[in-house]
Amino acid sequence: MRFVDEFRDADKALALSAQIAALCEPGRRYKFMEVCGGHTHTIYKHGLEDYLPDTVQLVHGPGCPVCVIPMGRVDDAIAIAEEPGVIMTSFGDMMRVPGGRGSFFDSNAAGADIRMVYSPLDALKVAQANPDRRVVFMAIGFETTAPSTAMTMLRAEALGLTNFSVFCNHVTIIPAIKAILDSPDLRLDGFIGPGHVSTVIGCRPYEFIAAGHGKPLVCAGFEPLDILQSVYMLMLQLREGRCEVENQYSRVVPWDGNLKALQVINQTMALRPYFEWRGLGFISHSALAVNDRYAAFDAERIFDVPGVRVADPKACQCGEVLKGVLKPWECKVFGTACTPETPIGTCMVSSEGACAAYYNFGRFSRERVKQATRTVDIELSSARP
Amino acid sequence: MRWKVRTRPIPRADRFTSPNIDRRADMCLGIPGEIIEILSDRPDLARVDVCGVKRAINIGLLEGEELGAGDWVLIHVGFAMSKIDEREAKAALEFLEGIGLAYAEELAALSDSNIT
Repeated sequence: MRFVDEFRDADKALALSAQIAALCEPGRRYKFMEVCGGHTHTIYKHGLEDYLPDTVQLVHGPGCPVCVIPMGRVDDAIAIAEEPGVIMTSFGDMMRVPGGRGSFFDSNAAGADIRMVYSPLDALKVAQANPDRRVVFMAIGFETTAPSTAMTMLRAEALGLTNFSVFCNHVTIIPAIKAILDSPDLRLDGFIGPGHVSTVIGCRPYEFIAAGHGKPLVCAGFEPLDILQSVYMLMLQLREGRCEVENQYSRVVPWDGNLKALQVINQTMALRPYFEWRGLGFISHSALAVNDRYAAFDAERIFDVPGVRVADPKACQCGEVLKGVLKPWECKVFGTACTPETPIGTCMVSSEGACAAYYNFGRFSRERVKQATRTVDIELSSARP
Repeated sequence: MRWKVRTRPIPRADRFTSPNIDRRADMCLGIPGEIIEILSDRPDLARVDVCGVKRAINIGLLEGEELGAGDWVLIHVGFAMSKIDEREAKAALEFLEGIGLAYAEELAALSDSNIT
């Protein structure tokens, strides 16, 4: 962990902050989107917005795997979990995500056997330990997590397991970025690229963003200084009139990605023609399903999945937050009806979700600012007699 | 005449922070770990040390990379995703040290200057 400790250094952050401020052109406002939820978490946890000039704004993107799961898929998973003899296994983040008929926790309380696992390999262990039960793994995540699911299916095949299957909800980041670029609501100056997704897909798939859309992108690490350095690199590109894909996180992200990981995804999964994202709607070729060769491990073919589309609650504005159009605190139900304990929308569920991150870390500094401005004097004459 | 409006005290952070927010595993995040040994009976598994916690992880996705004790890997949901290049990590660190120093020198120069 020595890297992590060394990177948490406030005076270096101040130095970077000064460099960023020096690159600001007078009168120009900058808006960068951090695509990954991990970055959102770091930004609020360490109050990074305080280190940036007022003219540099960070907006939060759709890269939180739990946040983009539509309610209908949660209902489908619960329907599978309620089948007789099924053990549903899931990452901890997924447990409180509300579907149309409640969350995994609610379903668990109502009698379904839903267990939290750290790794899909743990789900495989559950299957081995319970040969008379059917074990389903709720697979969610971007390209970071998809290879782990793929490797687990390959392992299940090698072990000859017949009681293990995967409910595949893996999504891909590039179509989501395309959807954001095509959205008319948002004017961006550049992207802070996802770090861990890029360990798998590499930096090459982002080149269309620089070449075709004229936006620079810097793949960034997850330490506070990584993010500040990425902002600096983006500002430097804009100042020098360059528009490129750069890799700030080269200590972890290889430019070409992880070919073995891409190969196992390709071996076991296929692109869906379309998939619904919460808030972003249907996006073509944006998700993965288990392919025909591994149909024996595909929960969608083994079980009867209702596949009903559930509309998001009317009050919930997760869609706008996920697209970066609204800041978390601009949502109508933020912090009142919707809190991490009783989330309405997914952005409040995962700790990587913009709303949860802001609720837990960011709002205190903001509240202090609000308090300071609210203690302004009020003219007696404006008060009622 | 002016009235000062009293406002409520600022809420204490611990009262409002969700108790389990950081204890819950961040599934998107990876953590660096140091390889202790590759298991001899399962060459696709390695024992790693993450902040003093030792556990087995799958290294099947790093096929073709030369891995051994002392190497650092990024771990995500029980799989090693990427070998962390220690030289690269040091280079990035030096960049930051470098600008930190430049900044410190600038500050020192400014405080030394006397234009009055």
